[in-house]
Amino acid sequence: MNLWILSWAYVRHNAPNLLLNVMLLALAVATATVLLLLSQQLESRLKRDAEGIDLVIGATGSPLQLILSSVYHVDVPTGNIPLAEADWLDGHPLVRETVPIALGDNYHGFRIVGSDSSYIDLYGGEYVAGGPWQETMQAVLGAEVAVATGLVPGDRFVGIHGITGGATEGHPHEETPYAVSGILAPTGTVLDRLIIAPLESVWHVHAPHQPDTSAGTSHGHHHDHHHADSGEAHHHHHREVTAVLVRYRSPLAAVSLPRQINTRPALQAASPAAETTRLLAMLGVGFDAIRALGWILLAAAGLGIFLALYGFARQHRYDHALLRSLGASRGQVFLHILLQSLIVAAAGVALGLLAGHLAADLVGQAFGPTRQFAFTGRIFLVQELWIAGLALSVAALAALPPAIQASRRDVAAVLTREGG
Amino acid sequence: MLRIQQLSYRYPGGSVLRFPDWEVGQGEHWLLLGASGTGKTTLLQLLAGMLHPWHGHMTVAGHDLRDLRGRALDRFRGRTIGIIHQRLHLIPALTVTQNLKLARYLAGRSGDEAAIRKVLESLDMLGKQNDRPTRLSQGEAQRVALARALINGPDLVLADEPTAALDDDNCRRVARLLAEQTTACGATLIIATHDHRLREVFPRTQQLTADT
Repeated sequence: MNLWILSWAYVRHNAPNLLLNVMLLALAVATATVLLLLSQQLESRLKRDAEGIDLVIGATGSPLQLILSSVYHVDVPTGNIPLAEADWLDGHPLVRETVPIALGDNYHGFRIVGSDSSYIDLYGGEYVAGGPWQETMQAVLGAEVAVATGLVPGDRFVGIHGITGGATEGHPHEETPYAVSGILAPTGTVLDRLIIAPLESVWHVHAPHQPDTSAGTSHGHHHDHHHADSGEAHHHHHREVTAVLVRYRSPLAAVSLPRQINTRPALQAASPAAETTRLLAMLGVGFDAIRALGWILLAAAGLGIFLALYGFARQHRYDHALLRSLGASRGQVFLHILLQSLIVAAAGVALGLLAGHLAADLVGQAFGPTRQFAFTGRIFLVQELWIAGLALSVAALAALPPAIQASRRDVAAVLTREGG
Repeated sequence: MLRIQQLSYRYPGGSVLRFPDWEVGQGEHWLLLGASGTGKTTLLQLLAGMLHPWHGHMTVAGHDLRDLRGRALDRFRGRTIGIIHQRLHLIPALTVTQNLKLARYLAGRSGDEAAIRKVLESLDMLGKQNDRPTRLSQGEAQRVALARALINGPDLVLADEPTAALDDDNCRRVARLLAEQTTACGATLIIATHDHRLREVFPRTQQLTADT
C-alpha cells in the first residue's frame, strides 16, 4: 500500500465522474499532437525537398505556384519556357548547376518528370534495382512509386496525359510506352513519389508524331500549356521545359540573378526558401487557429479537473480526516489529491497521444491517393513530451487549490461534525 | 500510561471545557461517560493529538503531547493510538485487506501480510478479506474497524460511541470483542459512551459533567 495505490483506487472508484475530464484532456492532447505531427512533417518536407535548390526559373505567373509545381510537385505548372531561354544560365559565373525539368504526364497519379540524371543526384537517389536509363524511352521509379505500382526493371508502362492524375483525366500515350530501367531507394523526399525519365522522352511523347485528329483536339485542351509540348510548331530549336532548378555558385547570386531573370518578359525566378516561408506564414494562420482550439480545450480540461477535485475533496473530507487520524500527515493528504489529478491526466495524455497519432495517420491515408503528401502518424516526436508535460502541469495546477484546502482542513472538526 | 492534569480546552468560539484529572494504567479498560456536550469526543481528540489543549498537562504512552508537533504528532498518532470512530468509515474504494494495509502504511509500517491475516482471523473475518466495505454488514464493518485500530499494535485504543446504534445482543458482543482484542495485544482501552449497558463489562469509569 502506498499513496499511488490509494489514489488509483479512488480514481477507479470515481471513474464515471472523471471520465469527462479524461476525454476533455485527451481531446486537447490529441489536437496538439495532430497539429505537431502534421506541421512538423509538412515543414520538414518543405525544407528537405527544396534543399539544394536556390532558385527556380519558369514561366511567369504566381511564384508560389511555380515552386509548388516544380519543387514540391503539388500544384499545376505556370506554363512552359523555351529551353533556349535557360541555356544562357549554364555558363553563368554565379551558377553552379542547372537542372531542367519537363512535366506533362503521370502514371497512376505519380508525376513523370523529364530531366537528366542530375535531378536524381539532387536528392541523393541511389539505385536498389536496375540502373540509370540508357535510352530515351526508359524511366527510373522513385521508391514509393515502385511499391505502389509493383513495376520492376524491364516492365513497360504508358503515361497518362495530365499532371494531377486521376483515371478520368487525360488520355494514355499508348504509342510511346516507357520501360523501367531502375528503381531508387527511399530518400524521404519528393523523389520517392516521382517517375524520372530523360527530358527527351517527354518531348518525344508529346511530339505530333501521329497527326491524327483526336490527338490534335486533345492537345488543344486547356491543360495544353501545362505540359512540355511545343504543340504543332514542334521543332528541335523550340524545345520547351517547365522549369529550371538552379544552384548558386555563390550566395552573391541571390542578389543579382533573380533580377536579371525577371527582366526577361516570359520568365520569372522564384526562391524556394522565400516562397516556403510565405506558404508557412499563410498556413500558420490556420495552425494558429487549431492551436488556439487546443489551448481552449486544455483550459477547459484544467477547469474540469479543478471542479471535479474540488467537489471530490469536499465530498471526501471525512475520508481525509480519517487518513489523518490513521497517522497521515498534511503532506500525504495533499499528495493524495495531487496524485489523483496526475492519474486522471496521465490517462488523458495516453489516450490523447494515441488518438492524435491515429488521426494524423488517417490524414496521411486521406492524402495517400493524391500522391502529393506523405503524412504518417507512425512517428514519435520529442515535442510530444512537451505536450504531455504541459497537460500534466495543467492537471497539477488544477489540483493545487483543492489539495491545499484538503490538507489544511481541521481534522477534529470534520470528525466531530460528521461523526457525532 | 495516560495522565491528565488541569487539562482544559478552549473552543474556537471561546467557551472553555475543563476536564477532571485522570490517571490510567497500562492495559486498563475504561469507560468515559457523560451526557452529550460534556466533551467526551473532544477529550478523545485531545488524547489522539488531533486537538491542542489550552492549559494543563497530558501524557500519553510516555509522551507529553504538548511536545509533539506536525509530522511527529501524526506519526505518534498512527503508531501509538488506534481509533474507532463512531461512524466506522472504512475506505469504500479499498478492500478489507487494503484498508488494513493503508493503516499500516500511514503509520509508517510495512504491509505485514501475516499480521493482517492474524488479526482478521482472530475476528473471524478472513473470508471477507477481499470484499469491499459496502458488501459488509454493520457487524462485519465494525470488526474491520476494530482490526484497523489494532493492526499497528497500539498502546492506546480510543473508541467513540461504538455501541450507540446497536441492540443489546450486538452491544454485548462488541463490548466483549473490544475487551478481548485489546487485552490480547496489551493495549489500554478507553471507550467514550453514554451507553450504560457497557458498565456491565467495564467497571472502571470516568465521568464527565458539563460544569467541571
